[in-house]
Amino acid sequence: MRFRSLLYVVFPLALAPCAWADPITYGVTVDTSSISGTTGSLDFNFNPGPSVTQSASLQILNFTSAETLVTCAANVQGFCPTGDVSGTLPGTLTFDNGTAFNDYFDGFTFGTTISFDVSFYGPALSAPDGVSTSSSTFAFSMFSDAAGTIPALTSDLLDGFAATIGVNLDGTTTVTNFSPDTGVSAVPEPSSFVLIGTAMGALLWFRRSRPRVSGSRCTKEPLA
Amino acid sequence: MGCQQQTFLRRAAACRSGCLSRLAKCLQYATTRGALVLGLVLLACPANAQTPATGTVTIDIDASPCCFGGPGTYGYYVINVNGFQSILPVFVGGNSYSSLAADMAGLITSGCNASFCAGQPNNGESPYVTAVAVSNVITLTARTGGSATNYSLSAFFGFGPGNGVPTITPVYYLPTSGPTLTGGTDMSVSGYINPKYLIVGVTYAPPGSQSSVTYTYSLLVGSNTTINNSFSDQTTLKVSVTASGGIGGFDHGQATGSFTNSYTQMSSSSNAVTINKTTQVSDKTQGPSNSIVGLDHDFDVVWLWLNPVVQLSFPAPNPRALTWTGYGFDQSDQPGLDILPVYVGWLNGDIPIPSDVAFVLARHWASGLIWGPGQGPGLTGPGPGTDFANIVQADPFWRCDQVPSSCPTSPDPTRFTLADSQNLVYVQAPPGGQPITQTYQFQFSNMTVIGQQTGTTESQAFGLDVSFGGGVFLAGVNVDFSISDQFTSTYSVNTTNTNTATSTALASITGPTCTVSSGSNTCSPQYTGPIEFEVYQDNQYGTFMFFPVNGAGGAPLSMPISTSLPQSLSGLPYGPELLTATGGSGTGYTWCVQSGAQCVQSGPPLPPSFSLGSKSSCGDGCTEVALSSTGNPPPPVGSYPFTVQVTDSAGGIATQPVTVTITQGPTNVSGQVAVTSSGLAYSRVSQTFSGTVTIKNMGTTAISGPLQLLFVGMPASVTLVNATGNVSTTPYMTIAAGLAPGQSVTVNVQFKNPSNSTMNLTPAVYSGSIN
Repeated sequence: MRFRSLLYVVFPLALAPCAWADPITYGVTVDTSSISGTTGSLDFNFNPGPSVTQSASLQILNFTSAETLVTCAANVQGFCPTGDVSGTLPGTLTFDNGTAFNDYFDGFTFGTTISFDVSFYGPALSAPDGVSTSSSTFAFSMFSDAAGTIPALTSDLLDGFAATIGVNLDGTTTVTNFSPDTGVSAVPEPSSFVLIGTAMGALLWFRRSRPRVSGSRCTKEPLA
Repeated sequence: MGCQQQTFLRRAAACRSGCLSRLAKCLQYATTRGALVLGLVLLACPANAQTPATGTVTIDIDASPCCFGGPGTYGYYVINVNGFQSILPVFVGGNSYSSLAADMAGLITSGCNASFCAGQPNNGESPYVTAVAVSNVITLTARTGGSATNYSLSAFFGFGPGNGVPTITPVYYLPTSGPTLTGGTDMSVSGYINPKYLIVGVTYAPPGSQSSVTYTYSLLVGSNTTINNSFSDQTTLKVSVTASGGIGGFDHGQATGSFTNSYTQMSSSSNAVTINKTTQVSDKTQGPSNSIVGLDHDFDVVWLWLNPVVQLSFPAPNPRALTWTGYGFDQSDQPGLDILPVYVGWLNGDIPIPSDVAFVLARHWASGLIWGPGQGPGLTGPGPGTDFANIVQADPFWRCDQVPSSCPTSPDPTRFTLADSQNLVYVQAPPGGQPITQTYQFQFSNMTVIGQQTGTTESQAFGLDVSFGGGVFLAGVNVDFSISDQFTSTYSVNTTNTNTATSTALASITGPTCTVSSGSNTCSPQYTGPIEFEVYQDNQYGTFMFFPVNGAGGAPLSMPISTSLPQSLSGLPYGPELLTATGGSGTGYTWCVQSGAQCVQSGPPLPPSFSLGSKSSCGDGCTEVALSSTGNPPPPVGSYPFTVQVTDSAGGIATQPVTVTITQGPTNVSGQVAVTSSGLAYSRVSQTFSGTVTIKNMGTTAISGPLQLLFVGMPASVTLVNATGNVSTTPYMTIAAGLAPGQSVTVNVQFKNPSNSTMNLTPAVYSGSIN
């Protein structure tokens, strides 16, 4: 009886890590107060490698900022998306790695913060095929000019990336953060919360359902 | 007035008297550079003239209240013609009526010419006045030139005491009477221009030295050649002729209307001229001297008329409108039309001009004429900007031999129409056989398009800034001739094909012979050009042109490549090295390497792993073929000679011997390693796609360095920025260290990919050096 009850707790907890496999989401927060008021630009791209690459997608979600984005029509580039990109900030952007260059570039006046979520999904994450030889990489960059030539808030002055997230051949991801002002952290998916909650509930139920021992050592009979 | 103008006037003044042709020679000084380029020289003074308009005004001297004839009396008279007013003093005191009349006639003329008439509202038309006194009545008769009639005419005479300075308001004035000036008739005047040449036809060489095309009945200038709007007059002509009479023509000129020769001229209208070649003369155009060449447009012929005289007329109703009246010719050259066939090769400089031909083209007979600076009687060339350069462009295929790439890839559909006849065949005799001869008869088809503008419009302009006042040209003709501004001649050929069966030709086409070397069963040399030609009629000249079927101008098929290709490292990918064919039919190329009696794309004599294939997706249409190697299996080190052969859709064949040398290369260890790569993040700062490539030794033995990482399959538009070098067209990176079993190495890569091309590389790893 005790073993079976313990399974109620251990099994959901064992499943909990599985919730990270599809999708994988990172929360990105940038303290832009040091360049607040600067008219610059943001760039997001998600591209395959030079060889056979398994399909993968990502979404930019929950984009919030203290300042407003320049509309795409007024963007210095004329159009925000290039390649397999849909959507418009601050709404949801959807990328896949179907072409060599999948990019969203937008003019932007910096406020004090930027935050958004990056959610990766697709076969490359949920079912790595084991034969592809190239992975895919997401890159996020900030620039202090509208043309996107002067990198901001990054130590990567060569390429200007603030952070990159690689989708590895085994379905895992690798975060590389070049920006001391940028935080990139994993965001548990709702399914994870459900599993963890289920496990915690089961544990509580297990504890409460344990039969109380009569004449317990804690129970003291009143003295006659 | 500029120095050049003064010189001109001095020379013109020397020519002021005499015949029209002499005046014309003077006017040559005013010809422009355009005339030189076009070979047109003004040789006559086109002029307009009118018989004078006349009217009379009668002045009754005795009608004056007093004073006439008193001592110290000065008078004046004023004459108005068409709004132009002339005021002139006359000495009155003591004059007789007759002498007074004489003064009036003379004064009005000289005064007007000196200063008064020029620039007046009636275009300076000078009233010419005679005065006749009959008793006390003086009758003034005024005549004017110009094209207008019904000039208004009035005059009055006044006099009074004074110092001879007239005033507008007379002390006394005499009423006049007389009719309005009426009458006047324009008289047509003819003139001429003689160009240095006229192009009267282009005939096209057939393929083969034994081939020819004979025009048995044709219009040498092609068809009815209409000169439309030949001359546009943008000038003000000021001409007055004070006596009637004809003006003669060119003193050396001979109108050809009644002339008979091999070539005759007929004027079908005032502005259309047809030159027929009589049936007694046949023109034969032959092919190039070397049959193996096949078709060679250097042997096309341009037919030049070297002594033309273009006759002009100013018609009476519209003296400013020059009208083309026909052709003549200059007998100073020869007593007939001087028509010379000239090869395109002479004109474009490909073939030296024989001395006797050069002598004729020099037109020495015209050296006696007066030529402006930089001008002369002879045709200039070859070379840019010369007469030859202008003439040769009458043949659209004039550069096919020099610059095959500039040769028209298809006939101009306006200029050329596909003749309704079978294709012409030109095939080499088989070994041991006789040449194949075929005959064809071509007939110019009736064109449904009338007045098709197929010619070129050329212009020349010459300025005439001089007045020849009072010059006597011919007996009884006084001309006050003045032209200013610019006079533009536009030479526009309109070819009108309205008649049927105007041109026929017989073609005899004989293929090249076949010479067989001892012990061989192939022709040497072998004809490799097109074997089939379409026949087009030239709508401008009424002749027939031969164009390779699906051809690119008839240039022979060739493969102008280096016989020594870059060396190959054994085991490494090679190429693609592109081999290119030019000329031929332009389509349907097939490529192979001769292998005994067979032709192969791979295998011996090509090195192992080498193959010949069409470039990318253009397939059989490609004029290029790629020689490439995967490097696997590694070919033995050595030298590999072989012969590449290309065949076009017309059966033309070209061959080219080439050699590939294989040297020792590094060892391919791709099977022992795993090569993986990251995604390529795009940097807007460096404008590159950057990532990493990892090589892991999956084997159980160490791989010695240096390692060579080759990026096989790189699109042409993509560049590996940090490449160590290239093996043929494949970039590679060198990694100094080797790899122990299980060990891996990661290198950064940066690509330039401006067109965002999809990459699907197949990295290959080699152990060893690339020298």
